[in-house]
Amino acid sequence: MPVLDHIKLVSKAAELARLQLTEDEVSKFSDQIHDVLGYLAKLGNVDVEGVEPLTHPWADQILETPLRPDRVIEPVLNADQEPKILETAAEVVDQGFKVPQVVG
Amino acid sequence: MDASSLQFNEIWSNYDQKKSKPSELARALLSKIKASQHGAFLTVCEDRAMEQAKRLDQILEKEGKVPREKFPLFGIPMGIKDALTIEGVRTTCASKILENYVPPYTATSVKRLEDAGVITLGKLNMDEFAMGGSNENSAFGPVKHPTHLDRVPGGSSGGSATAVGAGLCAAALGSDTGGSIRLPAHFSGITGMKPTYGTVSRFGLVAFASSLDQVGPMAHSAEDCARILEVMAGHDPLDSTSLNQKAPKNLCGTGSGSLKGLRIGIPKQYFSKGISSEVSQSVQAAIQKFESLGAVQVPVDLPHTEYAVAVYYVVAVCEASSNLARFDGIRYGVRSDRARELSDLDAYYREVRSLFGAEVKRRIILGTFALSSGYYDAYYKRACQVRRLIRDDFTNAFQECDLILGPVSPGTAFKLGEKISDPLTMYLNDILTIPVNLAGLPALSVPCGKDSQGLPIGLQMIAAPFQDERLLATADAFQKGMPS
Repeated sequence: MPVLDHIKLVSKAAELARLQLTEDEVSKFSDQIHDVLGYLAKLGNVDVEGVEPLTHPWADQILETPLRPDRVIEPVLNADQEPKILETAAEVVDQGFKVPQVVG
Repeated sequence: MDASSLQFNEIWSNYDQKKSKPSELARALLSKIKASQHGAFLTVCEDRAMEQAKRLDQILEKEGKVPREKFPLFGIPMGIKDALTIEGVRTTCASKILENYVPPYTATSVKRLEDAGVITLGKLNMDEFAMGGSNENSAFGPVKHPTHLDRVPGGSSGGSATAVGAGLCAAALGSDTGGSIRLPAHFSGITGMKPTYGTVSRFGLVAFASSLDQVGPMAHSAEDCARILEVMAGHDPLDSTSLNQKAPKNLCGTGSGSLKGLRIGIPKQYFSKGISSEVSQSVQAAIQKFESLGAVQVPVDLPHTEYAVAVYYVVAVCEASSNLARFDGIRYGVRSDRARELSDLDAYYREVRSLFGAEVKRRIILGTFALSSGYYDAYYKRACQVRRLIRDDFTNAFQECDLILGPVSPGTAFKLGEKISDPLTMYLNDILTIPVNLAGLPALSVPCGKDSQGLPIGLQMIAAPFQDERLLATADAFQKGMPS
């Protein structure tokens, strides 16, 4: 495995995950992630030749996925006859969620 | 009100004999919660709980005695980990990012409990997004151990463990991704169970690592845990990973808990160096107790145990980085004044997501890295391969034995602040609980002793998949055979 620059690694992953880190956080996380990745290297000692990855406890033995009918359910309304789901919105415009402009 | 008076049988007997009624018990506990210094509750649902209790008062009055057939958990006051949603009740996951979130729906597990007669006293503190083993990662302050206030209760379901242990409620719901029910049960001296993966619906459980998360009961006894699980278990059309099979029933049925001839597997890897001698001695004494009750000891081998923490800290963080991408501040969550002014969506996301705490950010970064191009095979794929080997270890062991016994964690409850600056040491605390989640097995922690400082020690019992019934019945038999 290539030698990792942990500061670069943390900054790049933070960018991909849309996390804004302070310089202090970058430096602290870099050290901690350096330790954790050092520990994870022990996975390299296991012989996994021909072993199928297991991504879910019953991935290879369970039963079919139980499907439910695909039904359209009318939105639940609150006392003001507005969709209840909008109650969690920070800002509402025309019965929709207000967000920063997406298309220029 | 001591903990023993919060056993379900005791509560029901008091209701039957008119010594108490649901609203009286709820009121007494609500005032105890208000006076408590433990930090176990994040939201107290006083009005809602009293409404539920008064409705139950009327039913009790009408029926003359507790109608357990219709309401199997009649008038049982519970607390719910703040990772589970309840319609109209703030659900924060102990995170600033959800500080104001009032969900429009109720988790299936909670709904089933309330339909069965549970009184919900409030929402319980936890590690932020269930990430932690000490409950020091809550954005709203740590939870204190139920009896040793300078110590941690364990995490991530620390609020649940302390609320039960300190007698603030009769039982609680927790969730267990890598030991988050069993570790705090062990530290806090209560009984806590993680069911077989898929037994309890995850609908309404804020997702951390979807292939590992499972909701489970925490209470004063295995019998009471069984009663809760019985009500919650069973397929839910709203969670396609909830198993489409018959739910376990009569979990503590008469006679099913005999230990005679039970083959108990003892993995040598669970007693290796690093396990404190006091924990080891207590667990060995419990094993002898099993033998005196008719069980037979069998040595079993779980050779990949030492890799479990490494596998977990790849799999769990990868799943978390993906699950936590949903916290974008668009449909719910906190939108600060600064975020409101931003016109650029990317800058907006970064502003909203700055509300995550340090441990959450660290895990998102690690998961994002491990899933990124060029590293996926080395980390995620390899971890999943070793995950299969860990699962196969258990499959082989259960050819030889009916249950596996061992410690829950290498030590007992540590002091607040003692390990917080060193994530890796904290992660290693989970070495004996994580393998169970990776393999999807049912497991629980029952109290089996105390160390020289009076800190509780739990015995971990692990069963083969879908043997939840046997696991609880055996724990019940052990508990009833133990001198208290």
